[in-house]
Amino acid sequence: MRRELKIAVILLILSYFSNSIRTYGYEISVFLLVLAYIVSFKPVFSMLCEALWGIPLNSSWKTGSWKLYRKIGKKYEVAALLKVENIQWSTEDYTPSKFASVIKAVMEKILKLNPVILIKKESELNYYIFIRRRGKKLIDLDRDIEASVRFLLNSAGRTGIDLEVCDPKEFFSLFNLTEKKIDRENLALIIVLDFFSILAAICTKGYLQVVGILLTILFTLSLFCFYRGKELNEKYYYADAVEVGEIADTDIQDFSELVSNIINTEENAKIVIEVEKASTRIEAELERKAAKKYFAATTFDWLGTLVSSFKILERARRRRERKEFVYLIRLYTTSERIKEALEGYGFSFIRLPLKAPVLKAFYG
Amino acid sequence: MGESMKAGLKKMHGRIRDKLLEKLFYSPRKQVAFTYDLAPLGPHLMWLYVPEKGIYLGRDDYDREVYLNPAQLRVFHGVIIGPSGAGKSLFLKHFLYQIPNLKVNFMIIDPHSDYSVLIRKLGGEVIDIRKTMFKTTNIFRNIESRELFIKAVAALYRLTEGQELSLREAIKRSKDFSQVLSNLPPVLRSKLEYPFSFLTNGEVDLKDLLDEKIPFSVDLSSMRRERPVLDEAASVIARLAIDEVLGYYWKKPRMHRLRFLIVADEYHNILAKPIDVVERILRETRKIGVYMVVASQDVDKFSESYFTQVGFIIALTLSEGQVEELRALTKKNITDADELFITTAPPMEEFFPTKALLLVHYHKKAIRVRLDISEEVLEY
Repeated sequence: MRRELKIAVILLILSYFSNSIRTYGYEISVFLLVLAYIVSFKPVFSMLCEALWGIPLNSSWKTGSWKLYRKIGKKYEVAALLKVENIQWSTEDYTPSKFASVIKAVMEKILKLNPVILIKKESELNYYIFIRRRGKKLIDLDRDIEASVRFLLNSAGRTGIDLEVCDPKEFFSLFNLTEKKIDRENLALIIVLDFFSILAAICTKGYLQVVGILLTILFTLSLFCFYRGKELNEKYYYADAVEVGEIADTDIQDFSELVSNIINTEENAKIVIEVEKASTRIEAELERKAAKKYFAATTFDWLGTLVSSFKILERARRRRERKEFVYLIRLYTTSERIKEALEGYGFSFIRLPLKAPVLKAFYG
Repeated sequence: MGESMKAGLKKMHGRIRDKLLEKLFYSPRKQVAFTYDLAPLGPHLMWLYVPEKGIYLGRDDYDREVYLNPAQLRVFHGVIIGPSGAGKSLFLKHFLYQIPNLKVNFMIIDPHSDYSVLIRKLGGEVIDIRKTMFKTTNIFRNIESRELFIKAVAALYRLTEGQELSLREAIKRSKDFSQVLSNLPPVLRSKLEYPFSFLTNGEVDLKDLLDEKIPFSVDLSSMRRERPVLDEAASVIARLAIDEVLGYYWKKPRMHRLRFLIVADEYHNILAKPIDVVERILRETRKIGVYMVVASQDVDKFSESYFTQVGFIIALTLSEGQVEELRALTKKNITDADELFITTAPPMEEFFPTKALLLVHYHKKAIRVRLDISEEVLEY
């Protein structure tokens, strides 16, 4: 999101100044303006909708005895929520090398199922694993989710983690959601802005008219999409880069202990991890990316890019040597201390002005 | 505008809106991560679970309060191990002091009169067997109790088969112990006169105490002053007291929830030999909600099956050898850090338990507890 908005601002500045170019200046500036608009449309539209109507949550989940069901168009989705009841070992119980191998086995078993993980600390710490399957045949999905849950219960049990299947009703109380009350002042402001942008689109010409048209589309669409949304009073940080380089077993154990200490001592904290298993070809892509960056860095003598290229190469090598699986993840946290700890490990975080992506991971 | 048209428009708006929101709402880009990148966020970041209510023990390594919650234990049978000077009695007082909070009644077999003041403070009754005695009725009614009693007496006093037979006949023909004594042949009478003489003048009816939920102790200290000869007599009386309590609860409706706790100090001297009465209790009394907690000095006084049947084990300062035995008998993951924790005690002016290892059936590893003995208990 930060990247999109940064690019949009740069394009807007360029668009404004390119207006003064004599030949094709107007065309270039309009082109850059539209480009900036396209790049920033989704984040801005989402922020506007969330501010006006709240978080869109069209959750039509139905509960079974322990499974959750819903129908999306012609497809079905079946899900189950599991919770860690007890663990028989913790970070300090092993030597670093043993810990590294045990945690690798545990995580790979869990992450294999493309889960959404919620680590929630309120009066007590809860570790939820949410798994879902989507497809056309409900009976196959049912069987698939049962097999996945059985696999998870058995494999976690063998590694000293006692999991239990949660009551599906618990799924709806994972987040403290409230009904969003529509802020009349905000709504009035958007209506007025929309009115002026329509006026600008009709009554003006040139650059300002284009701005008016673009803003009219944005404001009208966000007003058109009215819905009864939810509200979540939490600030989220989002991991917008994972640059964990070469790590020793002791680092893994130390950081695990640090995160464990923080989450257990925080009064209120949440970590949400949306995981999807990725192709191992990503390693080759990483190497290509490192090569590109290295080329750019040496051509223009940019030290930062050079360091970044080495880091990427280091990661690719680490994956190959340690035989790690590759995942595509979205990681959110509400805790500033967790954010700082993970930044020390190699993650980089930004504030997420939206809350919808977090809830979409579960309910969407 | 008709209602159906309104509904149709609403439906159409809903469809378009949902599609727009799905397409236009922002989702952050997914990041590439490897297994070890996510290692600090694995389930192990949870700390070992400790219950939040029950009998308060102290604080764990993470400074959380550690409780022993009967509701979360498979059975509330327990073992407290601590060598001489480890502060076992003080810890037991701390333990007993909190039992009324669980709204359950208890009795304690008290070989040294250590708990009399505490029992009185809790509004309970101290049965000092030199002065008063409880009424024994169960062994005259219940065949199983009688047989167990005869076996125990025969083993304790090394009776011959003939003497055992005579004892059985005497009990069968009697209604109380004064009759038993008069029905015994002279040689056997002289042998059993000492323990049975205590049983002839039963005044306290345990049924009344149990009905009114009054805690009580069976104080054997006056007998044990004449040690070692009279440990056998103390054992006979302790077994009878336990038997009376069990007889009372077997007549009650079945209930697994803890409703009565039998606590026995110095298990190894009073109840372990020659026939272990506790093992039977551990196996059978869950049905009636009667549980047993025993305290002993040594780990090797307990058999392996004993440890599989108890819900919790609390070990106070132990030696390296005892830790090794505990590890072997309980099959629990007692780590080197646990061993260091429990084998070392900080220097102190008085005997005072400061550390304990808590082993519960639902954890593979031990919980290290820094004991927090309540100040009120220190006064008793």
